[in-house]
Amino acid sequence: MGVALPRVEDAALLAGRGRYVDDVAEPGMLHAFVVRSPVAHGTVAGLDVSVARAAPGVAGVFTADDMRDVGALPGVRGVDGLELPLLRVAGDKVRWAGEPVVLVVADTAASAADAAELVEVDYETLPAVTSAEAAAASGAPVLHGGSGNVCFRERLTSGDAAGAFAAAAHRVRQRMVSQRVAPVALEPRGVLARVTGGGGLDVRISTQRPHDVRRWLSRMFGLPEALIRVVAGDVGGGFGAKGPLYPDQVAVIAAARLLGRPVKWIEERSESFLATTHGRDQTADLEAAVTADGRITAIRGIVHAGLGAYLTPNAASIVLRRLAPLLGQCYAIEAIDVELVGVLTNATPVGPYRGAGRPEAAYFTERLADLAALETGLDPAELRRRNFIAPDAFPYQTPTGLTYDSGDYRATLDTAMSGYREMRRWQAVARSSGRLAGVGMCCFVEPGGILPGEPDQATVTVDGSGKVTVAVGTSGHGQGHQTTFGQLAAGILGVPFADVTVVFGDTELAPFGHGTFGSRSTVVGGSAVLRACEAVLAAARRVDAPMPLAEAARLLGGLTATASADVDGETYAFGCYVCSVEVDQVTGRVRIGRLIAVDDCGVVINPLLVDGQVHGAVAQGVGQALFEQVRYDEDGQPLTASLMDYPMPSAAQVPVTESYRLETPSPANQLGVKGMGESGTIGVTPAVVNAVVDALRPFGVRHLDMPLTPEKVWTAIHEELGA
Amino acid sequence: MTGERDVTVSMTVNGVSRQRSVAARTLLVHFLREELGLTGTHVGCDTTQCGACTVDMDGVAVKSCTVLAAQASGSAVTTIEGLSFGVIQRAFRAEHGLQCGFCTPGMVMAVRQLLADNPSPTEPEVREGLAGNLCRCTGYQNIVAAVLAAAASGAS
Amino acid sequence: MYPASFSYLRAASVAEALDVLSSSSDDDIKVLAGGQSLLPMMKLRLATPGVLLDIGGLRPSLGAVSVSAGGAEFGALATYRSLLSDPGVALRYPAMTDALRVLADPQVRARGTIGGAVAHGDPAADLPAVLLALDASVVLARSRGSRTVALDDFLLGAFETDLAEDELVTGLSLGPALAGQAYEKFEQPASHLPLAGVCAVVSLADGVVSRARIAVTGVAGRAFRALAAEASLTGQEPASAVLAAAAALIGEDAPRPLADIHASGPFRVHLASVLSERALRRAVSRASVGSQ
Repeated sequence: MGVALPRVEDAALLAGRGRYVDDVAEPGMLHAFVVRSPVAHGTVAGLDVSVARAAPGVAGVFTADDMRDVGALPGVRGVDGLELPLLRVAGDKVRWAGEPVVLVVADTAASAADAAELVEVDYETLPAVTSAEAAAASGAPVLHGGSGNVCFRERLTSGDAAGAFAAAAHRVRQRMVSQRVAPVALEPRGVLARVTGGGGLDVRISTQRPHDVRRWLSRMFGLPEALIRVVAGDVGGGFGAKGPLYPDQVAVIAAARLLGRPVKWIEERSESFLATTHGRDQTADLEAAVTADGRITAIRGIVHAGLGAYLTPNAASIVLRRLAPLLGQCYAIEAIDVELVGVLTNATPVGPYRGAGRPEAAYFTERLADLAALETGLDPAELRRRNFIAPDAFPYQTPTGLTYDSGDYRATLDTAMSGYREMRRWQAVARSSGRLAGVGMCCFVEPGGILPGEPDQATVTVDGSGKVTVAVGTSGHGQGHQTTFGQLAAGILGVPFADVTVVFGDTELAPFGHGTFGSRSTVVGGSAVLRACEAVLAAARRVDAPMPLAEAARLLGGLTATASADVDGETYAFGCYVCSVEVDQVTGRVRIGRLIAVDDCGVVINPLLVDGQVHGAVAQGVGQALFEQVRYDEDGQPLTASLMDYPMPSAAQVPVTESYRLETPSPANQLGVKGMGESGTIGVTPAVVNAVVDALRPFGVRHLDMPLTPEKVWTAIHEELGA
Repeated sequence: MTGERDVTVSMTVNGVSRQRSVAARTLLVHFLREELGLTGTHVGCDTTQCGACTVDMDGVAVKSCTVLAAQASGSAVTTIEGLSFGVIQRAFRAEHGLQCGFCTPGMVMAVRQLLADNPSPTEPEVREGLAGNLCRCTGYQNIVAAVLAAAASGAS
Repeated sequence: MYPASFSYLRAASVAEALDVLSSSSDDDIKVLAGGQSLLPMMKLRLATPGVLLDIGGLRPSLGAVSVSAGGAEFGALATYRSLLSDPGVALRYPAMTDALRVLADPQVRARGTIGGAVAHGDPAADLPAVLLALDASVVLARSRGSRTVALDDFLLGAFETDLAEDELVTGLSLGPALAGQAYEKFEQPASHLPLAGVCAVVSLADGVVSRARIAVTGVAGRAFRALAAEASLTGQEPASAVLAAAAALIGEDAPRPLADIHASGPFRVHLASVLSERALRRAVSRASVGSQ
């Protein structure tokens, strides 16, 4: 525990021996190609697949008529609970550019692509709407029938917001957008489905949630879970977007059953910008009530969330359970009154993307905090300090119904302070020679360890030679769980790390779990591993005399135990990120100078891996702040549907992160660990934006929406200059 | 001269002579992965940007998704599988320069070229030198550290 | 990701390639050199040629790089990588080296060719600005002979060149390298193509500018010469204010600028102005060092 061990996963991956879904072939395998709607909103006026069916190599061409026996995707709907069919037939509506319409299956991927061009679909187009606010307004094009596109409208209230605003010395109001972004895992999505003897299914799928996928497939296809095997294998990144099960994947699995042959489908990159769920897309109009001495006493306002063309299973909770209750962040804010409007739009459906509601909350609140600092004349660090929940207040019940397990926000800020002061000194010098220099910070909390249902399990087995196998229900895809859980088990069992093998991602080999997402694996998976290890140790004590575990296992003919995670609730990692930026006045380009990341994620099992998670999340957070945005034209046509137009950061575009770690253990689980994989996306985005606005202070720029592109920054400067 | 829809390609891959008849439109990356079963070279994009498909062709790192197998006929190709586990791979492991591993084979092949061209790169030179390789997991910091570490231990 | 099917031909000689191009009644034939521009389009099925003529085997005849005090000859199949490592190019045409360093990425530079840089007519390519400022000529061959045309006359518009269906770009030539040169680029963050790229080539004599060339890429449908800016410099001392004034004139010669989600037309022109000033400064300082 606590050792920066290099990963056991690496040797195979570095030698090209990873097994991602596209690396697997089955005898008689066919290949699928998804024909998608090119229009953002319309009706299928005509659909003719006869020419495509007759094309060389084609084994089948499928429409919605072929999918009627498949149950609905759980949790996926339009308004009013309307369930969506898989694929389409004439007369059906399409609601986003990229919606799957027809599935072509052929002997090679190339011939499937050729045949796809022969599918004839005519569309009657309808006006499209991609902005959440516009889609919620009366007169907007309606996607699903009924009275409009608002899928949910809830109000989160606690305390006396009206009173707080009435008594406030300052009111700070700002409209802010956390723009729609795309996850862009390097491995696109894919699935290889095979029917097994007995009518079962063997599904290899690039997924973060193999057991949940099995459960969903069981419901959709009416098969017992015992007849379905789901294998994730090596997964090339997920970031949340490989958690859901998608209609295109289900159609491929259905096709495999109909054809009685294995069918593989691998998403193309440009396709993924249309077909894989996007993140964020929230527009907030929020106001903070601030006392004369800089305490924020209430937040009120409204947030519109663009959900895309249909509601995915997690999209509502991202807004209602992650964004809204977390607007208080690290601060003792007594009152809240926020309306949350989830709106369907003619865009790719929104799903979890690293942070999922938490980056938006941190962004909105930390922008308000900086604006409050501006209003009150306080240094932004001082304002935050005055608002922190005190270290002795934990476990802390937020007015929004959350229980923060532990926290010491002053400590993370204090750790960042010497760097912060250095940056302010640099800024003063730079400003004196006319350079546009800015410093910004973000203090945040990061809930992790989510438990969406019954607890994940782990099975620990010690064989007669003392070799240990740990099988766990979480499902890592780059996080290094084979190493982390190996370290954990070795430490608890008292065996050499080299004697431990960790297994997950295969429903046949690993006990039940929800998979890996939401910064949960070390907390929940770790808890299950701990308890299974403890059960094995307890079983070993049946032997009369104390002896090494391997000996006991040999005498008893092997030891095994399965246990469920036992945690008291979610964990709240926290941190303080500070950065300096310089803006080139003539081009508007932003350069990040220094970035300091102070993270506290409780007890740390492998610091090397924790740092890696911070770096990766920081790159995505910088991506959102400066580069990335999914954009549509007024007809709902995607404008950023390839890496040529969607600026996923490259090495020269990402700054160096100076990482610091503090450890305030979590009382919510036995290990004292907290989930932390998303902290970079939460912490760095507000810090960068706050820094750029700070840099533009000489021009009186109060706020600028992300991404802070050169033209946007330059225009803001010159509008102020011209005014 | 009439063209052919299928071509016979002959090339040396990881030191082994290979000959196959394939559709002319077959990309080198698909030839390596599907025909030869060398799945260590990956496809991560369709716009020649991500670099996950990088291989060595006649001593130079190229993106195998943007080369036809036919263009590689007569060439010597080295893929990630053809490399011994050397200084670069050890540095990647020591510095935690990979997470999901999908970009990694292409990254290693590109780094091999970078260090061959510039055995003692500065940090900015490393970042510029990786312009053809994208990673979403690591944020590049430990990849850069791995390259500098490999350079320091004399990788090229 | 899978190109549409095509017939494939591999030319064994330049004569054979020209013969195929001239005798092909099928105007659905495309020449494949490095493939770094054509293959990406084919993978997205934005280009679906019925016939692909691979001239990659002609590097012995078409890949040469020759640089001297009198000028440079680049075979069309010279790769960016070979140009980047050529000491003659680095010495005499430093603006080319500037551009080659920031063009695409190392892997693409290993396959992409200088012929491809001009044959395609891509408005957002880096090299055309440099070649234009260096008064490059394009050498074209066809079965019944060859011709040389100024690059300025060869580039017609976005993806439009003066290349006839039976013609092959066989090389580019540059006149004697003159004085100070520099290329500056502002990149589009996703594609890394230039939103604006400016090459300045400045000759000094007796302390004043005797000749100036300023070429801009990425801003309009084709790379263009900033003639008004050039004229304003001739006969002037290369002082800061003079360079700034010249840069401010860039917009005068810009054909209707490109506009997309990454930059508006006016912002591109503004960037071109900013880059012109930077390129002129560096070109002047290189001219003053007088390595020629």
